[in-house]
Amino acid sequence: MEELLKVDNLKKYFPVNMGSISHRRKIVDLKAVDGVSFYLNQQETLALVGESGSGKSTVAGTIMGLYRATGGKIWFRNMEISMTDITKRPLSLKKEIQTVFQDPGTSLNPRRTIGQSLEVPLRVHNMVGKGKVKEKIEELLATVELPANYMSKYPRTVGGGERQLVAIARAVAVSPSLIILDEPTSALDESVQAKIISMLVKLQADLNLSYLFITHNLGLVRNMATRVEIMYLGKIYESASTMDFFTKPLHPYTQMLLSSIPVISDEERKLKPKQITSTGEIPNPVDVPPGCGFNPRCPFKLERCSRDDPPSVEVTSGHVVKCFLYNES
Amino acid sequence: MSELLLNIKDLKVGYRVYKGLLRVLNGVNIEIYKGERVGIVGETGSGKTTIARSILRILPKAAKIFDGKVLFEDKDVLTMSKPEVSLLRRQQISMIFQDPTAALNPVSTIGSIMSDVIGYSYTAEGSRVKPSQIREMAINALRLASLPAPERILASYPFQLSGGMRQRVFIAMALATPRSLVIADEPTTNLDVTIQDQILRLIKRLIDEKHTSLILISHSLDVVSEMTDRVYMTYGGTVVEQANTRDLFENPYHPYSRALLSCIPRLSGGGFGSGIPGQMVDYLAAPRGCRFSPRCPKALPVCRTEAPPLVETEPGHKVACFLFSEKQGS
Amino acid sequence: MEIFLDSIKNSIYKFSRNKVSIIGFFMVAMVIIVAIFAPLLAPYPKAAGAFIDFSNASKPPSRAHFFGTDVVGRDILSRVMFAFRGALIMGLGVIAAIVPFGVLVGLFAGYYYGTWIDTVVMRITDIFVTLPALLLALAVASFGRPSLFNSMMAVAFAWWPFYARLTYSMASSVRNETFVKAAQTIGAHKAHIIFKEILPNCLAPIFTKMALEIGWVILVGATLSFVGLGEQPPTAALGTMVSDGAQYLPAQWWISLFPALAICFMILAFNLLGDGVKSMLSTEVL
Repeated sequence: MEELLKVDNLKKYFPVNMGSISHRRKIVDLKAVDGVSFYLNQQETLALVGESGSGKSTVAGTIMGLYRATGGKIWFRNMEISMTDITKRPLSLKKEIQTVFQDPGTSLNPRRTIGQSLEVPLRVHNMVGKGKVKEKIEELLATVELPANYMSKYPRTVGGGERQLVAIARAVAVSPSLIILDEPTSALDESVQAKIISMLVKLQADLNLSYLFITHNLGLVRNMATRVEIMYLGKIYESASTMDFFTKPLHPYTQMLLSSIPVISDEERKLKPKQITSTGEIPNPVDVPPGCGFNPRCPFKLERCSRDDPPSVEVTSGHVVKCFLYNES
Repeated sequence: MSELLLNIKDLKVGYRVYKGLLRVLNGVNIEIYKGERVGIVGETGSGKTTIARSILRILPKAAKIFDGKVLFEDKDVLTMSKPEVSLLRRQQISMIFQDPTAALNPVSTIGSIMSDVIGYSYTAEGSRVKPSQIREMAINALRLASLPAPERILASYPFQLSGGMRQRVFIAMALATPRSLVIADEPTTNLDVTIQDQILRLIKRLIDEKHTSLILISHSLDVVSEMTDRVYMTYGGTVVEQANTRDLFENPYHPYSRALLSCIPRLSGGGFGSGIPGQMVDYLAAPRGCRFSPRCPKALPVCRTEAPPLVETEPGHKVACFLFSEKQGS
Repeated sequence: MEIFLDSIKNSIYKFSRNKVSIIGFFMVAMVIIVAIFAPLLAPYPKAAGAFIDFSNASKPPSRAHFFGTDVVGRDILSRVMFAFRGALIMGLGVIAAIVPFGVLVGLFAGYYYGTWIDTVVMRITDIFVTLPALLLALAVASFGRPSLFNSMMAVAFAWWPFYARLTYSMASSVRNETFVKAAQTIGAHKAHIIFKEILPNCLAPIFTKMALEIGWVILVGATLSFVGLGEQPPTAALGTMVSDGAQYLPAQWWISLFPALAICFMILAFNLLGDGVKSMLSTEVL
């Protein structure tokens, strides 16, 4: 399989003023992303999983070009793209990477009709001739199984799921190779989520798409992703194929995450790690604890965990974990 | 089963809007027994929040109650006088909201919010809380909610706490004085999974310790599955199925329950359905018969003209569907 | 087409939800009709200009002269009707001139929020804001020969920064919306983002402010003519009429009172209309 996207030691810091009345200016780096590396193969779905504050959306934003990376490299098909922000990226690159945002209510302009929103990518990238725009929009709506008369509707007048289908149609309008799915269904009901996800799965096969799937829903990850990256406090803590990940979760944080998920069947209950229950909260990224970021919440904490940051080790083929517990073996 | 605490009988509630009348609740029947944890599940627009608001009588102005009773210990909440309802809210029922940030006044300290609430409440003996007791009760409540350094939390403002802590504070407040019923409306929707797990365990522990009944209103089947003994599945302002939680999730009867459950991505894998075709009920022109019939793959002619009665398929497991009623069977 | 009609129906409904705004609409319509057809509607069209009839001078309100007559015997009702013309030209003209300019300035500064363009443009705007509107208007109006056009120029000078500021605050928050990011990642051009994505989302408060402020512009116009810097006699102007009558107060109260009430009426009319415009332009679905 060919590598499509490669992220190498990516860093994104945001300066924040932590000053108060007594110390007026105290600029601190918020290390939203602090050394993240992963790759994405063609036609693969890579899940980037994390809770709020883990930095997963910042990774997505940096790949999209909304932020300029503080350090590290992003390669897209052997082209280095980390230092160019969105205004300087060549049009051909923008065409290749598309995004489906979390809330279709805000990702579609409320003052423009669905047709007008779908028209933008077609015109910008000259996808079709002048006279054929309307035809193409109808075709796009048909791709996501929406009727052609939706063209003249405003986003607020249709349901949340249909809005997200429009956003998907807009993303595939320019035949991209990579689509970043930034929590595409977290604002939707489960029956609607199922519709959206099966649409995405179908389109992936039909159009040879690769997905970078940002989410916190491990149930979806299990059913959709090829590989999983678990993020916590701006770093990747565990990385594995989906199968490996759900059968042998290694990192204590991953186990805590899995044990916290509410489930509906006994079959699933059996899969949840028993020996660990959720405690504590994710620390403020401005004030990351020394050593391993997870050590204040970790029940298996070793003495050196609060001193040194553990390196990532490959425990079995393709299963990488960042924890001292697996360092000796 | 123990004593009946809350009995909602044939509740019909609608809303007046510009385009006409939204007939939302269409004859809802719900029973809550003492010490029981009951879930009301449904997707957006299923009317579950309207049910919760009817119990506390906090419906918006546009709402109109057509019919039905909400009997709390055999007294109808809907016909109570205002002071009686207010007493009910202060003494018997409390509510946990989805968004504690919106429910906690940002310019007051946690201490002053809590003392207001506790000061208006009643002790186990049925007397008003004395001002001298308030602080101690607040600290106790925070400690019970596993919040470290309660004194410091009392002195802080809501924005100084994390989302999880705010929800803990809110739960502590809701259960600071003895209550017989707690209504939790999507209590963990805005929280991360690991925090959600902690909050759910906290609610469960406090509810069980205090022998309080819980109504958990949620769109997430998995949360309801973990938290409750019994479930009411709602669709389009009606209860379509009710059963013990495990029964309903392992062995659903109603075509809607089946379709919805098939949409849940399982941790054990195996893929999932491709959604339910069609749209949620348009309450301006709700279908005459079964409200799910336009989307139902197994709809019979009778489904479109008559509302299906609740049929008991197994002890305690009731389904509102003609596929399981005598009419169809014979 | 059907959808178009539907959206018009919806707009009318939203507008009329507030009953008072319907009253405002009819009041504005009345003012406009009266102003346009003043020569036909006014009982004494001659009174509009240099007309003298001492036999009827300073008559209190009566059947023949509902609003009475002034010191030279002109029918005040007729003069008020003609004065609506100048007042409307003032209000509509000034707003029509300053809104496009102010909005453009605000839109660009808002799009370049946080850059030097933003700083320079908005600080210049601030300088205009610090000058008291009326004083600036007085200065500009007294600079040239007093006339309606010069007083309009004066008000326009003082007024545009408020539109720039409003648009700026709207644009600088709309530019952070996800749909703007979406347009950027798609590769849309800057002009598209500014005019097609951001601008439409800034328009509602701008239109509301316009409808509300026509009345205030008219008031400032009347103030300028009150101190003699607006429309020059013998043309009827509400401010001039109030100031002319002021010296005969309180005995001949009608000379000042009715033009003053006419000013109040116009301001009220546009304010009520503005409330309706505000609810009409909201995107909420009913």
